[in-house]
Amino acid sequence: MKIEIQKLTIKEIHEHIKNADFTVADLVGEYLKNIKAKNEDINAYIEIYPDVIEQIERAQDMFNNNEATFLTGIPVSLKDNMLRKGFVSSAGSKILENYNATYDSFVVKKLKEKGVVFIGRTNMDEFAMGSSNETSSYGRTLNPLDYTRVPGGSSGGPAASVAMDGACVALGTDTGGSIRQPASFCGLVGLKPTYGSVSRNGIISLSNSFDQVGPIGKVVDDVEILFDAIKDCDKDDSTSVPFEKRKKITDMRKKIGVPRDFLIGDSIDKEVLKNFDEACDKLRKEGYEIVDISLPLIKYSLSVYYIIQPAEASSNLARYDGVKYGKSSDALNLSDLYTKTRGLYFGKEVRRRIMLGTYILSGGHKDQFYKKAYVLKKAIHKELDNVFKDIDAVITPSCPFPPFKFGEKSKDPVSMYLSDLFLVPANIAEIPAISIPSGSNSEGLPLGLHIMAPMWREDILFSIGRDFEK
Amino acid sequence: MEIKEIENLAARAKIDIDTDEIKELALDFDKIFDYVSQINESGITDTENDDINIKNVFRDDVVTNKNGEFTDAIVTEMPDKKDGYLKVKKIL
Repeated sequence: MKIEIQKLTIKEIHEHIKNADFTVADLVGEYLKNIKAKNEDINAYIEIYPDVIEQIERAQDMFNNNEATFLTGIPVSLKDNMLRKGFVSSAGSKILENYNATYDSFVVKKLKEKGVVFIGRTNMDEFAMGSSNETSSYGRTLNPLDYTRVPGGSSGGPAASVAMDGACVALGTDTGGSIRQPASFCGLVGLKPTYGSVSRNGIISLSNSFDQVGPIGKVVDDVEILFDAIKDCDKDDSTSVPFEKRKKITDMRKKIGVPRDFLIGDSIDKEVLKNFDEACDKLRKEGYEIVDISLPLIKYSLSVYYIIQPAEASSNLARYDGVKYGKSSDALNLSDLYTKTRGLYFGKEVRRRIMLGTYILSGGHKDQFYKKAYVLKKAIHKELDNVFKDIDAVITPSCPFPPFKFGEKSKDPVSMYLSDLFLVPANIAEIPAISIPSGSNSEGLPLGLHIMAPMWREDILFSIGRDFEK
Repeated sequence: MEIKEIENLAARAKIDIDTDEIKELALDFDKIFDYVSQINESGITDTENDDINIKNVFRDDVVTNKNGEFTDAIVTEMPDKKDGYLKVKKIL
């Protein structure tokens, strides 16, 4: 039969392979055909894994032996910051260009058990620092829906790989919007799970307090299946939370809050707001009560984020020293080796954030910035916890503007950072959040609806998301 | 921010940076700190909780892998090595 990968969901693919309508090899072949035709332009993949055929055989065996799960044989792309033993993981950076992972990340281990087919590793902003994929050392990734525009970032490659039908689903990481913003820019669904629900073991760290792995797909169902497969507790990540502590406090009341005051500002596009009002109407028709709420502190989230995140990044990235692994520069002595290696192989945005973090953590400034930001982080967390006593979820647009053109924001770091304005509060408060496609603007560019729910309530996001998808 | 201050930061972060970029960074830093200083307007001065409430998570100090299980893979990744050892440049 003809395989229409653009339209098939994971469950439909599973049924077809089970019924022998097509094989795993036929399926993966369709995706590889697309990659061959489009990747040279789009540059979603940095590398296609050389062992795809072996993975296909293994997955087909699982079907033949009646051991297949929903994810068996499903083509999955990995962001370049996830370790897969024996293969390069470079985090989009020249400094790790030659680094072969010495172990599997937890998420790779989990998906391997399910028999997925890892297609390849996808492009990203260097060390996940960026919102447009323009900071990658491996060239920019184009938005498959409009080649003149960015795919978003930092998980721009994962999102583009799905949008161009080069993978069925992708894994990305979200530190301050890095799954949800590219999902929105590429017309896809992207989930940032509750902090502590997916192990960070084997993920190249940007900012430990915020980093979380999550799925990107075309529909809520696919994203939920991938999330269920990776949300296990892991003893090797001390911030991973055991299942018995993942408490669900309330039942759903079909009541959603809109933080009106947060939606006012010059940086927010008028068409985005109009689309958001239409989204609210659609949810009302699905039986939801939409109420205005007040969250006076969440507007400080982005400032809090750009203090804590560079501080943690500067400490995390100290390990890239040219000594233990990765690239190394010619040098006379050890100190010279450090400065030359890091100057030569880190890109500009990475250098900027390490130095920002160094400044923030230095003696005279620690109390002025870091400590204040940390106290405010806790206050924002409390503010959101409180509002969830009365409502199931908080909604906003996913981004203040539609996907922008290359170069449009790369000269001004603050205007780039603002693209995560609505997404960062969920990272600050450690709560789960999802971006769902919400139609397009007058130019046909995709827009997204952003939904946040209380801790451990991804089920609320999927439930509202499915109603909205109808 | 002063050029001298940025040079100082680069030295402490152990990153070689050229003069043009230092000038650029001085301007970027002003913009970024101007933005993040918004936190001072929040009115939040949580003195009760300023212990920050963070605890370390420890595991028992026991060996969980076989002797030498990862040695080859890790040594292979070292830029400079000899006879299974990491070679480090002279410090003095």
